[in-house]
Amino acid sequence: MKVMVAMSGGVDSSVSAYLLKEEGFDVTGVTLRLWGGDGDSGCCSVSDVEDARRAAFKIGIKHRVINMAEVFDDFVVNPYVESHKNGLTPNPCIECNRKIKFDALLKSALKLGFDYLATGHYALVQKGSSGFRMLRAKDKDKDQSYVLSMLSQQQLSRLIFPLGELEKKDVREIAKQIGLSVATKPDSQDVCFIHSATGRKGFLGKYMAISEGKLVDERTNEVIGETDALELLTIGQRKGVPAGKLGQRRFVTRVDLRERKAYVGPFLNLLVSKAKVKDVTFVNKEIKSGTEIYLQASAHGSPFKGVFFENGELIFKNPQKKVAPGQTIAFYDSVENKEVLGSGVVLL
Amino acid sequence: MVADTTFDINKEDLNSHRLCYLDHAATSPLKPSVKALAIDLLEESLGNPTGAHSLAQRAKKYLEAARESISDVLNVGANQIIFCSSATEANNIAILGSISETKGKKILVSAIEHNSVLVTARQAAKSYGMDLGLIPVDQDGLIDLNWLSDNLNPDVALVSVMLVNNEIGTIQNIEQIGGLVREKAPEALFHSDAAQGTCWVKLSSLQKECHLVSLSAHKAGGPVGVGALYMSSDARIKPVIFGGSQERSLRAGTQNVIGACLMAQAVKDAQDNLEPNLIRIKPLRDKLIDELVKSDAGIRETTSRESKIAGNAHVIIESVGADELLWALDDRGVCASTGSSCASGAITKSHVLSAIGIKSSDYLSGLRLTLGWSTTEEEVAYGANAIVEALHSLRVSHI
Repeated sequence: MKVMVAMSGGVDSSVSAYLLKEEGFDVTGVTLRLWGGDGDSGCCSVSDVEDARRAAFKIGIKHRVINMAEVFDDFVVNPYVESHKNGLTPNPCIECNRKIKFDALLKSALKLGFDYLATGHYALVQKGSSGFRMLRAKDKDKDQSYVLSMLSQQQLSRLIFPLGELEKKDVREIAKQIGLSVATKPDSQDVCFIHSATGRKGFLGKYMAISEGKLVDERTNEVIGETDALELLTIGQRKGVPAGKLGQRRFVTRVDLRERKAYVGPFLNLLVSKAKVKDVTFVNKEIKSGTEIYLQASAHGSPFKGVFFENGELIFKNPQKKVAPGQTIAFYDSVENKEVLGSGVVLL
Repeated sequence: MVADTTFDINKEDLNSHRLCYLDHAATSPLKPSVKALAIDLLEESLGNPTGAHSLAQRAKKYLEAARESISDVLNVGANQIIFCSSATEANNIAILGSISETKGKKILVSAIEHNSVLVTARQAAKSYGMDLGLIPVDQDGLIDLNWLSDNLNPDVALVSVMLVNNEIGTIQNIEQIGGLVREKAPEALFHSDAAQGTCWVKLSSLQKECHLVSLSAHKAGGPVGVGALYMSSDARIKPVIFGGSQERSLRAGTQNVIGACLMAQAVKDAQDNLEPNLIRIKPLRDKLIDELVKSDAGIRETTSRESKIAGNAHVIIESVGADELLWALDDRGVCASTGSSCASGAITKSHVLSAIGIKSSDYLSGLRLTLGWSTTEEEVAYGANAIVEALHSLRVSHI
């Protein structure tokens, strides 16, 4: 069986390639060229490609680089910029998974005669009588099922995640034992096309106007501060928001780009009892309207209970911090909070 | 016999057989005469050619013999040839080394130059506060002589136009360009990157028109790691690599004596066999393109055959990414490329295809097939079949 392993140059994907080769697969490593600009990590920097290539040679597999920069621009970078212009908070890594890694790259793999595509994501896929199920990874701290929550049956039938049953420390140990130089390479934390030195502001500033705005107390309408980058504020953000007169913490609760204002308030004001999502996808079966499920609103956020309705409404069991429009909410089973049922993108 | 090495080489890869090599523009295999000379020279005891003792002088003798051989081929004086590591380095010396010595304010290069000219010229213009003009080309890659004529004036310091383009194979009319430069910008230097022309064009006529000519060994059956630059007597050049008196202090660093000798062998061999090479390769190239175009696989010729070298069979493949195609070809034992890739190894958008007016959706769909001294009829037949078959397999829907 031929498998293409997406290799980013990091330890997870390198060990994934090794494990699959040991299992007897005919493995080829592929690194994507996605971004031609500055970036610290991910799929663009030549040093990451070299890391991946070196790991591939060490493991004894072929390695190639594929250019997907145009599709990446079209489906990840440009929407990222547009979302910010519209006051949304996008998650480009999820879009990259949705449109690039598990769409364009998967199609490419199948065209080139591969049976499967594998990545170093921490998640589990099981085949059962009712089709493929996706579960959280064994290593709860590293579980990446959230960013894979948009995958479909068709996709899962061709995907392998070799690290689902392993813990990160074991992965590094395997890398060390086989002599991979990336055994101690730190995990990349940031969006691959944003350089840590210039940050989001430096990146977005090249594509859109980023200007000042006022911070306004939402109860009193009093201007309590200013920001030099209104477009970069996220709902729920506390950084850059002055504390109240009694030292109480305040958070961004709403951003109005036209009025050039961000409204702030106490944490309580961030709490909402529901959300509405669009672009809902299901991994296996459709979730019946009115079903109680677990919801997770960020890659390592704490899951909370809520009820799913087919019109996209999610009614939370307990008030939760508002999820910014544009973010993804992943759905999990309500019993063990283990199985990924699907996801949706927050509208408001 | 494979020698023991102290570094990691997968010995199964060495000497593995390739069915079909159509990437001579990237590099050509070592010619048998060059390989034989290499084996002899590697047995020799050669010192550092700068030294005083007899082993050093021996090395010097070989180096100068190589230099003379190349200067004979170009019909120039031996002291007008300097050796360096590559045509890329020769381009750098020609541009960066000359620009500080000129009085002009403008550099003109063709829009389809290799990056070792384009990027270097951009850098030179930036460093010296000069303007850089890109000479437009037509749909075959031939430079617009009217535009050149209109834009040449005494302000121009340097004109650089490559003899043969590395992607699409276009041969420029160096004589006409030289004439225009002499007429309209008599103080300007005219440089030509001739790296891709050694097997296809008579190099001896270049010295009549050009002040500077860059040469490559490995595109002509010689080794990688050596190149040369011809400089006319009125071309004033400053070094770009410092710290030694080698090559008349124009290019510091111990010379690659063996490389220079192999280069001389390869260049002479190529130039002596221009006509037989052309007669043998042209029909093979024509057959390859004809087979591909008539296969109904959405393949079209990129430029006219009359405008380019007989070994270039560049085609545009509709609605297939070059990355995937090259991969599928490699799986079938066919070596080809697009001619434009970045340091990561991924295919990049071709500025050459953009310059000749190919639509932007096809910038990543160019397939460069280049034939050379070792290409056989069987390879071409196999290659044509493999390409068509690979395309069919990529176009079948798998989802």
